[in-house]
Amino acid sequence: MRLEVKGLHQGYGDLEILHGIDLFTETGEVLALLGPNGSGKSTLVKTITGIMKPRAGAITVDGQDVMRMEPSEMAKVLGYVPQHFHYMPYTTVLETVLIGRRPYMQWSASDQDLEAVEHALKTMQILDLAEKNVNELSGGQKQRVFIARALTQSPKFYLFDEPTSSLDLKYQLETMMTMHELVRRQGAGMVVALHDLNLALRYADRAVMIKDGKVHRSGTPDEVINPRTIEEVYGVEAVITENERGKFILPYGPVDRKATI
Amino acid sequence: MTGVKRVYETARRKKVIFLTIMLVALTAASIVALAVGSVYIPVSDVLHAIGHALFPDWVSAPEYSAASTIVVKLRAPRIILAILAGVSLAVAGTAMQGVLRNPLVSPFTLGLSSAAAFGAALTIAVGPAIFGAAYYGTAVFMGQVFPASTVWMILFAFVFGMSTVLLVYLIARTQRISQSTMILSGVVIGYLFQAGITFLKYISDEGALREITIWLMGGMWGATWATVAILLPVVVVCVYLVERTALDLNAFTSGDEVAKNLGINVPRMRLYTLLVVSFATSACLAFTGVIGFIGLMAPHICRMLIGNDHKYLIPCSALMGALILLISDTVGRIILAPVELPVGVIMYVIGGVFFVYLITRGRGRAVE
Repeated sequence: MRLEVKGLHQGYGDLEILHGIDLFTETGEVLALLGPNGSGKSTLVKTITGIMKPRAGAITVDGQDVMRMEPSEMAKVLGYVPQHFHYMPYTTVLETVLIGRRPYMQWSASDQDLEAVEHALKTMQILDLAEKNVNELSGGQKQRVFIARALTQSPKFYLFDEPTSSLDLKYQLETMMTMHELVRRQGAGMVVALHDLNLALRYADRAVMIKDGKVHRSGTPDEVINPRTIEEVYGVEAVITENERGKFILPYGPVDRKATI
Repeated sequence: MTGVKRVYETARRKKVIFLTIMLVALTAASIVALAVGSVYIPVSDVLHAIGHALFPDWVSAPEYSAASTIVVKLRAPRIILAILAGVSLAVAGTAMQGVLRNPLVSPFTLGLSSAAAFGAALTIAVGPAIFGAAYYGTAVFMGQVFPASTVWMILFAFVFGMSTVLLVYLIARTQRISQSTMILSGVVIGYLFQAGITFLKYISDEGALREITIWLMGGMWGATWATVAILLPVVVVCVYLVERTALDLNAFTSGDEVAKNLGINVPRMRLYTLLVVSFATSACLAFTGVIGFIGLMAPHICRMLIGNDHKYLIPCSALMGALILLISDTVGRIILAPVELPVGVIMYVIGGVFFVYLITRGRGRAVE
């Protein structure tokens, strides 16, 4: 399946954030959305997932306009994983993850719903936490619970808004590896807004660099992430080194403060 | 059975058993409440009085002839009013906390209670000046004669309570403010009405001042079958409408953005829920006066006991709210009989102690 965004405009009040974004992705690949703070990555993710109504432009899945879909049908196609998670105290992991089945459930959880929950808990390696209250878990465990909730939604495309921002190094890598595996095994598509360019280099199949609400460059991670684009978009001087495990970015410092460092 | 299915079924069974226990406890408390008071009526006479009222051909009248009057005409409507008020306040608290994702929200924090109180105080203090002769007539409903002053007071309390929640919501919607600012607006509007009440008390004569004070204390004093006939359908329909949204309320706990992505029309759903529960609560408060605490505490107590799945949390809160208010009212009736204590005095003590017990018990378990 192909998710396509054409001429997308979005904003808040008088402020326009996105100025005609064009991008596409397909199931089976990870697309990284890159760009500095305020470039419009989160707004783009929220607009694609129907959380914000676009001002102009089109979002289609296999040519079908998602804005014309029934909300519950759209939920089965595009799943959103936010940067910050909300939950109420005394909610168990099972109850939290089951919320992802809302588009499928009428009243009671069916066997299919519970199987989807079990599968998601196993995938995120938290099956043994099913009965625990979410507020008793560590930050990393919570993150897995909320990703599991998105998995039970079983969308065709997952859209993650900086999923690794509150995780320590190990969990960052684990989360990205899990997501990468999900795409490979389930054949879903994944769009992920990322700050960490090294994670993008390592786990993304393609990347889109956004600057000031416009696509600055798109292509394979190698094409998009290089010292020139990093300087143009982030204003940071960086070099790329390579060893047997791959390519890595070494940022030196902000271009405009070079003299003081 | 898979692991998750087993966990789900076990948890579900526990919740159903707990709800059944709550229902039995409420039934038992109702029978006790019908029996006790300034005149004690044996339980057998209570059952005969109720049975005879419902099925006069099948159940004989109680031996003690006054029992029917005391049980059916005086105590039963009062008990049902306590149950209805407890149910509507607790369900309102649960739903408000759910849609606003804030455990401190209740009909009080959204300004509803203060606004209803202001509406009532306004009619008591300046009703004669506003309505003139219309303030002194009477109205008849189901054979029950209501003074027009009471009808105005009930209407004003209802309209003020209801419209305040709508106002708070519209401010939030048009100004695109966050939920916490919306709650703060409710609190501030509540204070404005409190200032209004203080002013009305200040300018009231002694009789009006006493009436306002009693209304602010809240109680089931005005219960009649006519009151029950008005409130019962309102509360039943509103609770049903909220219960139907249980799965959406569960989704709300994940945040507005996730709820939207799951296919829920968040602004419409929030307005719908707030209006439905405000309708039931304003209607009940208009008859009972201000009753605090239950809207905040009953949902919390139930969350600690059965978790946060609104499918079970809403009925559990409803039963818990009814039970706390009924027990408080009954204890208030008998502790200094024949003098009655305001329901709030007992309720804050019973509910508060129970809540502290649950918190300390929960902490102990967390340390284990």
